[in-house]
Amino acid sequence: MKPIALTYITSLFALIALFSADIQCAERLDKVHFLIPAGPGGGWDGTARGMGEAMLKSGTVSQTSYENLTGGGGGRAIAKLIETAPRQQNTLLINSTPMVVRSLQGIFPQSFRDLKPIASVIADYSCFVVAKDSPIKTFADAAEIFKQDPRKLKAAGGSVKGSTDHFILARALELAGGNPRKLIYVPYDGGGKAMAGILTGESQILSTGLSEALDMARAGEARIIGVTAPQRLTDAPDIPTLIEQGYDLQFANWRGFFAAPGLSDANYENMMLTVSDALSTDAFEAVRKRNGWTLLHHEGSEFYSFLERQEQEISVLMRQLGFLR
Amino acid sequence: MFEGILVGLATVLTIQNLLLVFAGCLAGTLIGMLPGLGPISAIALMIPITYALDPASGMILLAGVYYGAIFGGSTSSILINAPGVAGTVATAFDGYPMARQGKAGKALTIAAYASFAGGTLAAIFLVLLAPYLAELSLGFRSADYFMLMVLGLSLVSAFAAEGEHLKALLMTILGLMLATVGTDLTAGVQRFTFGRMDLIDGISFLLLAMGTFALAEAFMMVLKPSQSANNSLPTTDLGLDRQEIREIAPVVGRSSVLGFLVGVLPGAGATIASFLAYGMERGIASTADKAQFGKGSLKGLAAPESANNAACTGSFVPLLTLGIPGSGTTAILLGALIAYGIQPGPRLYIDQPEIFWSVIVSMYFGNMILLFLNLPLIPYIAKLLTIPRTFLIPLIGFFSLTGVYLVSFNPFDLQLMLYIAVCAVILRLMTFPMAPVLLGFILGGMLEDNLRRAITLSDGNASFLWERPTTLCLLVLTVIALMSPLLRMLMKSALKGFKDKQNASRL
Amino acid sequence: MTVYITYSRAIGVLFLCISCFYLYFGHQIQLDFWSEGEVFNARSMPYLIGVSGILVAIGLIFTPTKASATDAPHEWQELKQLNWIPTIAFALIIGLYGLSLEYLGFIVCSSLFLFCSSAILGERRWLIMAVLSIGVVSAFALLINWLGIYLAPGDLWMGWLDV
Repeated sequence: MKPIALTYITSLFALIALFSADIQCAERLDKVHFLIPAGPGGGWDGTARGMGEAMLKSGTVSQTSYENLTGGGGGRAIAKLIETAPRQQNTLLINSTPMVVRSLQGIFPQSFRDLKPIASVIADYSCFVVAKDSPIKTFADAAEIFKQDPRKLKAAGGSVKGSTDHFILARALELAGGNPRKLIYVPYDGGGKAMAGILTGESQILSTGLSEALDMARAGEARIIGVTAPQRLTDAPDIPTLIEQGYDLQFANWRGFFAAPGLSDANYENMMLTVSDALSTDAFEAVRKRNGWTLLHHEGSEFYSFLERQEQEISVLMRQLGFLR
Repeated sequence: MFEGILVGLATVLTIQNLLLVFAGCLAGTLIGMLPGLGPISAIALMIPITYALDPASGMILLAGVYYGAIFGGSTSSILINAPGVAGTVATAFDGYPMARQGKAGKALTIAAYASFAGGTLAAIFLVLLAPYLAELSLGFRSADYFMLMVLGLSLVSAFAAEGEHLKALLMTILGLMLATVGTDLTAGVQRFTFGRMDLIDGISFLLLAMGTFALAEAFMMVLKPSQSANNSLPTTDLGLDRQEIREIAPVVGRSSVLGFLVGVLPGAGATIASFLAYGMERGIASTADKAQFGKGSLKGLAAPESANNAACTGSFVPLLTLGIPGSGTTAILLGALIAYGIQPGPRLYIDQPEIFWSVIVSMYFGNMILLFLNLPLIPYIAKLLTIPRTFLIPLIGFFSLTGVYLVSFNPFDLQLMLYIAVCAVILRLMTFPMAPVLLGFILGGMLEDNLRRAITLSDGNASFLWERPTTLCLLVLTVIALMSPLLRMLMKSALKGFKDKQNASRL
Repeated sequence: MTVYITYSRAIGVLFLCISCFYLYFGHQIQLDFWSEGEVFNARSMPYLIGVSGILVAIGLIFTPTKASATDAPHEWQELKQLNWIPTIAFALIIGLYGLSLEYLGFIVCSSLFLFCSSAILGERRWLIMAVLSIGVVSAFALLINWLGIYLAPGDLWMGWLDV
């Protein structure tokens, strides 16, 4: 046999060995690939990498990789996962509530139905923030000002008009008896700049995610006057919920994982198991504490119906408030 | 305060920490030199490593990475006209022409010194003035940001050669047009996306800068082979003589102050700071110096470099005193600080002085080590340019393409960049300047957002333009900047008339 | 008086067209019904930019040129002396690179890109070219990998793996 042929055959065997190793691993997920629809350093990225860190440290899986795929308001990553589904057997796509909002708005054609929902992992509740020396002490104060003159309550937010920040505040004001369509919402480029907006006094109230707001409010320059959690949070027990203030508004901005469509049942079970295993480890607890996350674990079909419920709620809200025609 | 600094020094000055800052600077410079990877990615990638360290060591490593990444970005700007980071785009305006003249080593040395000086001055301001500056950053509202952007746009004449103002203006408008592509931040509607998903998030600044500068430059080198022969010139000329130091010292001082102040504002940032500093220096330069700008002026290189670094330090003011992150980088740093159990804010200074001071001291050390690390490396880095052009040009192409691809992972962006580069080459051949496109692009988006916010906040009145002293001040400055060529002409003719009269009376 | 078509005038005319298109598409931007009543909505800035584009372009077209009679045609002559053929080839290679990157994968595609563009620029030391292009790209990919940035292998190899 010629040496070249020998090399060829040996490498072929090596390749086969390599793939069969892969196939064996399908029994129990050994490596996880995270698909992140945003650049490094954001909320999605942090959650995926935190989750991966917990998985590695606790030994749930032995290998993780992270693919940041930006573009199309997050739509490109979803499209890619669907297009290349057959070879995304151990891929977890991270996403969150804006996915529901954006598919309702038609920014991208797909929705969660086109993917396999694996599990939600953490929740970020919405909250309303005012500057520390603001006359607004409770949400009722804010609603009172708004009812007298909507122009006196300019609302800052870190995202575009029609996003969750916008319509959650509009909904809360509606529950308080105001006309939500009169709300003047001032979008900023990110939560940090929006926070600066209320501190300079150019806007009076900020609607944003709790984890981002907490980081900044703990600096002592701002106060959180209401959060959309069902009850007070153990990590921030001094923040009143909207429900206890008499406004029946509960809203969780979930972050969770999705798998490619057409995943085999065995693989699907495995993925759910891997995620739930990782969530119960001390390693995840450390990551969760470090980032101040709140656990929100819905799995598989339960997650699916949670999403359906949320989609229903949001579309009713957005229609009422005039964001959807 | 002096005590505080000593405490900080004691925390930071251990062998382990010094090694860490050294490693951080090295890694940061390397990552920053890679196209497309700026401080944000560098820090985001390094953070997992720092969790294993104690807070002070973690901070010092990150500080090293941060400054290293910025300097690394300047390096690729100067050497191959490929700004890896938005903040170092203005560095390429004069840094790259210097490299073309065979003065790459000198340009890198100036960049290193200017960065260092900018960082040092800014760190001193930070220590002395942080509490007062917090007030300043909160005194700036949307209307003021809008006027600041208008002032920035009025600097466009700074980027135009004599008598070619219309061309520069046209290119600025082109930049403004490109800035409107994508999802509109205020209303969330899509503009000029032509139904393409790839355009929903707009055109990235990096893509535009790489297309118009790095890739277009690679094309120009192919088009005009005779001009790239200069690369074989010696690059060993590193030192600055006394005359040159005297020339750039005041520039560095002014730009650092300006950069620091702009950096303190949470809504502006290092890129704007470097553009403003460049424009300001060109605006106040003498006629002879002015002609040098864009052709390898030492001043034109020192100004954006020191402003950029000073602004990065300045952005720590709102972060440390108010807990507000003004940029993507500081947002990540805020997350890291909180993960260490450090809560930035006005109480940090009082409750945990040792942390506050060790953050500041470690930032300063990052800056200093960077200088010592890079000065000896510069001759070797500059040697990169002696690669024969048949390899250098493909490498520049490869670097700029990967730089864009590594940010979005979207092959569509590569096509878009090619089209942009081709247009840029045609425009450059027809003697249209490219820098105003970038100026219009970067200011345009922020100008529109802030204008619309200001209008919404004032319920649709135009009164926001003069209601507050800060806005009015900026408005007056803008008018002066716009009128200055006219005023100068009037003064000249008046002076001439006066002299004529004198001469006449003497006769 | 003869009117010369200088560079500025040519670009001015081109830009006039671009500005008109821009205005037209700016007018097509969809507004939500809230914004229609607003003083300054998503269309306002494009209107402003488009109109100023038209004005500046017209200004550029009608600016008296300093160029003397011999200068203007001379300007265009310069273009002919440039190295167009390798430049166009280089541009094509870049276009191909963008099109085939996800298919061939980063390492193969980038190595080919470096190799071919060196060849276009007249380099004929094949061995050095091969070693350099594969070496640089591999080192780069390794570094990227070490930093934890994921580079998807090309579709070509993926399809191969599935079988």
